[in-house]
Amino acid sequence: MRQLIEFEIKKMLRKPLVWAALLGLVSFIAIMEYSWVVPGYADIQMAENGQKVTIKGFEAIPVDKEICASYHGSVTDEKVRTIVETYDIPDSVWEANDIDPNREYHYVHNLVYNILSSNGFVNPDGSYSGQTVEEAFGDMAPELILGYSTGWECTIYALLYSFLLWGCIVTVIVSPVFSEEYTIHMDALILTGIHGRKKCTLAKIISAFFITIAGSLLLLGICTSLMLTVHGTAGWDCSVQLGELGYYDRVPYSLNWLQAYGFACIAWFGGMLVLTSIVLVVSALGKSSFSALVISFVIYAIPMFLPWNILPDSVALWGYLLPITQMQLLKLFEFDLLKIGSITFPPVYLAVPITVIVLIVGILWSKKSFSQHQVV
Amino acid sequence: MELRIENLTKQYGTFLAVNDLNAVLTCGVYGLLGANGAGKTTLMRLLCDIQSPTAGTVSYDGQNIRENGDHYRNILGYLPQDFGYYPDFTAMKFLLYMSAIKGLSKGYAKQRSLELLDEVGLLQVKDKKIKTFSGGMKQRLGIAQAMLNDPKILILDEPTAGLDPKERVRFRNLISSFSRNKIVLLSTHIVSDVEYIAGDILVMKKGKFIHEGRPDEIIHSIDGKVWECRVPNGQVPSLEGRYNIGNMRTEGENTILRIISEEKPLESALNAAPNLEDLYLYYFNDEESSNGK
Repeated sequence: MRQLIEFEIKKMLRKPLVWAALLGLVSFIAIMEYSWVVPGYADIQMAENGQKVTIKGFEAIPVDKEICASYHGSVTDEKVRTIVETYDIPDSVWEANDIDPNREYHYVHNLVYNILSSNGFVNPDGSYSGQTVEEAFGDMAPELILGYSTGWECTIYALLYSFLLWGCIVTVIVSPVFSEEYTIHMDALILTGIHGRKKCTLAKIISAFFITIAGSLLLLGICTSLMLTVHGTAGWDCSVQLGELGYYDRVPYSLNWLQAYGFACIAWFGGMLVLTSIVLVVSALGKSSFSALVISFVIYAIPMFLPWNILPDSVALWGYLLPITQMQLLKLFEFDLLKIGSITFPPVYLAVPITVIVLIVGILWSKKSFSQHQVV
Repeated sequence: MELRIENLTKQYGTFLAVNDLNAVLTCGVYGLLGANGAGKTTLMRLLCDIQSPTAGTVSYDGQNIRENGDHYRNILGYLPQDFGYYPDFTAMKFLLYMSAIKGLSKGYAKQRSLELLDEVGLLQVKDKKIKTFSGGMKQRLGIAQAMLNDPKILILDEPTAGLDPKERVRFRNLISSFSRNKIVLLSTHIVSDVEYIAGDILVMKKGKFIHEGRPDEIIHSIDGKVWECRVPNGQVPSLEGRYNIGNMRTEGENTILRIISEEKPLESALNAAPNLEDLYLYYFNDEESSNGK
């Protein structure tokens, strides 16, 4: 069995198209990591002794963390007022993209001020708007934690797009698993071997999942290691609603970055496993490797462009649990907590049973389809 | 050892590819002769259990092959008519892969693969990628993979298609050397392939066996229908239009024709001893023409 799995993995990976796609993925990850995480866009302009000082890249990160550290913790009205009054930046200065060297404030990149500004706490002239934390965040207000969380936020952002691309590549790698045998007429030879219908079929399925899981772990491992090296664990307890990029400021329940990272892992791995199962079934049912690739890709990519939000929530939720929408995280995270009896849980948990069910159905269906395939 | 075909039928829509076939195959080499589209490949796929019959059964030693799956596949060797290879695999790696599918242990697979590569004359190129092989080399690799598990039943679908004469002779000898104590079924529309090595011939037309027997027996079925005559060259076109003409040899102003016909085509025509090629032309001339041959 092990020998068959090794052969199948080699067959899947030994294709110029796959190597080109993997090279593309590595380049994409490198660009995403450089742009967002290592060191990312950290760029601080500050006044020091009447002179404008600009700090960028790796040097800016500890400065940024130091500024945020002094405000780390719960978000109170008093803290908001202090931050806004310390760093008040009118819109005109934002737009001019410059600072007054005589004023001791941090500009362009100032995490805490940016967050408050984007949440309606700052007037156009840079003064405090008077909005309370409760007015801005409702019942969640007492649970919110402010702090430096750029590492987590940008890593999730970079990983998200990397996983979406990895999904495309998994489609390219897995779609020929069975269909290529039909295309090159190897199906007749395989299906007349004693292990062709059982062990070989299983080896193909195991190999496909092995590549998907190994690639996903590698992707996750590399990006997370880079984040921990460059940004450390700082901000793991901070609220996703107070992220610098503001992507998750509409999550309707209390969620910190470590939890969000865990949820994202569930969504990414679940999405990748479901995608692999679907592609295996398409491959086993396909007439040729090309048609299997096209159909798999359409099934994977199309849901991203569908207007799920016009549907009732109960229907849209299932759309958000499709591989690509699930791996995009946003819609799933923004969906309200689900309730079954007295149990309340985030919708991302639904990805677990769905993955298990699709996995079982996918494995059985593709196995049956290939082993009972009629050679033509 | 017995492979029994009973009322075997395969229908695609309204087209009957295999029509209620019955036969019993025991040890020996069987040549399955028929034009393109006669149903040879479909029959072979049914015998290999890679297509389901519409009706009827194939049983090996009394057991239905569909119910006896793994055991049957363990004694089966198959070379399909056209099959791809993994172009980036070497010959050796390909045989090791097929060995794994056929359930051979790793050590034995290596030894057996080297033996077979030697027998089919590919040992020197065992580490070369298959994409660099000629058609003949690929076919020889194909027969090697079919023999990996030392099958009791060997089914070869058009194994000599695309081979040059030298390779065809080599291939025939290879089959003969492998065929001891086996049921070998060899399909072809190249008559000389079966003429030399087949102990029995099954002639197939439109999904049915129209003749079964030893080559000399079935050839007798067209006794008195093969004629030879010498005609002026100018008369050949008109005869071609009227008769089924086999060989044609020009000698100066005249042409010697071999005509397959129920009736004497010309006064000067003399009866000739039929051979298997004549038999083939007798039954399949119209079909070969319709296939563009």
